[in-house]
Amino acid sequence: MDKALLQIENLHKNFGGLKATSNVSLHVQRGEIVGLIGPNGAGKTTIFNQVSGFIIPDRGEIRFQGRPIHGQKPSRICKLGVARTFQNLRPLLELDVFRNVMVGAYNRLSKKEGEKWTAEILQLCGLWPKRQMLAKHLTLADRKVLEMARALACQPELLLLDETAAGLTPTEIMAMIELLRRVRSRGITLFMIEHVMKAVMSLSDRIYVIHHGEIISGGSPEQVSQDPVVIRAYLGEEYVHP
Amino acid sequence: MINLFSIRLGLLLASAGLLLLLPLFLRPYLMDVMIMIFLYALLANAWDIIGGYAGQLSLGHAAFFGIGAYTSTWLFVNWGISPWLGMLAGAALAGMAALLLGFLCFRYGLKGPYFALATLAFGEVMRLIAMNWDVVGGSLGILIPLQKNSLLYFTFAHKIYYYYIAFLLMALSTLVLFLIDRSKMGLYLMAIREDEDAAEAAGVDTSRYKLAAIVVSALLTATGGTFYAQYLMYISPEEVFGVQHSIEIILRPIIGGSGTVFGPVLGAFVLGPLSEWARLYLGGYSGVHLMVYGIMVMLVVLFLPTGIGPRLRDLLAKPGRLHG
Repeated sequence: MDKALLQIENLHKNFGGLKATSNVSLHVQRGEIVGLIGPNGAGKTTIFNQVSGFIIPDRGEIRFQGRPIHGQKPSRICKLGVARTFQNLRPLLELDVFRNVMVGAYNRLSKKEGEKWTAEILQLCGLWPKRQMLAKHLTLADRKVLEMARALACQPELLLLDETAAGLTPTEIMAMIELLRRVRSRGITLFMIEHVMKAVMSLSDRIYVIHHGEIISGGSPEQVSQDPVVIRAYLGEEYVHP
Repeated sequence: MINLFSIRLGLLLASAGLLLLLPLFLRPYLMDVMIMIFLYALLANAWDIIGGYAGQLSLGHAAFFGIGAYTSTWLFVNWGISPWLGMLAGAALAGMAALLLGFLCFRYGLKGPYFALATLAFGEVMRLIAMNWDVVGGSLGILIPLQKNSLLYFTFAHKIYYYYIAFLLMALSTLVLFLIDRSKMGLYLMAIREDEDAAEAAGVDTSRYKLAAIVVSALLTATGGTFYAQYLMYISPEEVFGVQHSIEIILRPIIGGSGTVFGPVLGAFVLGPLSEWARLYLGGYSGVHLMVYGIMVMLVVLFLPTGIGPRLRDLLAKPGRLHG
C-alpha cells in the first residue's frame, strides 16, 4: 500500500470573511522533506495549526498514517507522532535546557529512558554543553535549536518546522541545514515552512507554494522555481535565470 | 552538586530534629504560634501545586479549606463520626469540588486572571452557602463540644498533641511536593506554567494535568481545614471561607518562593512570626499591624520577586553559578 504519511484533502478554514485556508490538498510521503512556501499572510502557519490540532478546520480531512486526526487535541496528535515547532519560539523560559527537552521526551518514555534520550538529542543538536542554562539566557539561534530539540524529543514520525532558519546568520543557517539533514537521516519526515530560500531549495524533495490560502503550485524545487505563477506571486526574478 | 545536596539534607534533618524537640521547652503561646506556622505551611504546600508549579493563580483555596473543616465538624457534631474519618470525607468532598471547578475552568479555557476570578467567586459562593444554610449553623458557625482527651475524637487537652499532628501534616505535604517535583507530573506542570501551548504541542495533556494538580491541592488543603476545626473547636463561615484566608494561604508560597519544594514552608516560617509580631506590638492601634504586615510583604515581593528560597539557593550555589 502506497499510503502517504500525511494526507490533507480539501481543507477549508475561514476567519470571519478571510479565507485562511481554501481547498488545500497535499500529501507528505514517509522519509520526504517537503517545503511549504508563500508570501507573508499566505496561510502557511494556519495549515500547520490545523495539522497539529491548535485550530479546528471548517471542512476537509487531515489523515496521519491513514487515520483522521482533525479535531483531536494537540497533545493527542503529538502522541500519535506529529510534533511541531513554533514560528514565534516558545521556550520554557524559567526551565533549564535539559528540562525543556525532557518535557518532550516524556511523550513516549519513562523518566529513566527519557533522560537518556534527552541527553542524546542534546548531543545531536549541539546543546549538551548548555544543558544547565535557563532557556531565557539562550541566544536566538540556540532558542531555535532548542525549539526543535523539544519537538524531536517527542520521537515524532513527522516533524512540522515553522521557519526554523528565519532570522539566523548565514553561518547559523548552514549549521541548521546540516542539523536538519542529520534529523532526516534518523528517518524522521520533515514538513517545513521556510522563507530562507537557500534552506528550502537545498533541503526539500518537493515544495508546495501557497498564496491567499490556496495551493498555487507544487513540485520539485526546480519545477517550482521556474513556475511563472510562483515567480509572479512570490519568488522574484532572480530565481528565473540563476 | 553532591555537596550541595548533602548540605540541604543535613539542614533538613537538623531543623526537623530541632522542631521535634522544641515543644518540650515552649510556653503555650509560642506553641500556638508554631502550630499555626505548621498549619499554614501545609496550606502553602498544597497551594503551591496548582498555584506555584502549574502557575494557575487560585484565589479561592479557602473554599477547599472550609469544605474540609465543615465536613468533618458536621459529621462529628451530628453523627459522632471520628474527625479522622471526617478528614478523609472532607478531603474527598473538596477533591470533588475541585474536580468540578477545574473541569469547568479548564474545559472552557479560563486562563490567567479569568481562572483567578472564577476561583475567587467559588470561594465566595461557598462562604455565602455556609452563611445561609442553617443545617451547618448559618452565620454562627459550629461549636465543637468539649471532649476529654481522645485520640479517636481528635481532641486533646494539651497543645503538644496538636503540635506533633500539625508537624506531621507539614512534613507529609512537603514530601508530596518533593515527589511531584521529581516526577513527570511536576515537569509537566512547570511546562504548563511556562507556556501552555508549547506544553500541549509537546504532548502534555494540559487540562488533564491541571485538573490533577487542583484536585491534589484541594485534598491537602481540606485536611488542613479539619485540623483547624479540631484545634480551635469552633468554625464560622467568615473564618474558614473568607477571602482574607485565601490571601493568607497564597502569601506564604509567594514570599518563600512559589513553584519550589521548600519555598512554601520557608514562607510560612517567615510570615507566621512576622504577623504575630506585628499584631503583638502594633495591635493596640487598630489596623496598624495589618498595614505594617502589608508593607513588609510588599518589600519582599519588590526586592525578592522570585521569593526568599530561590534567592538563598542562588547564594549557596554561587561558586559554580549552575544550580542543582
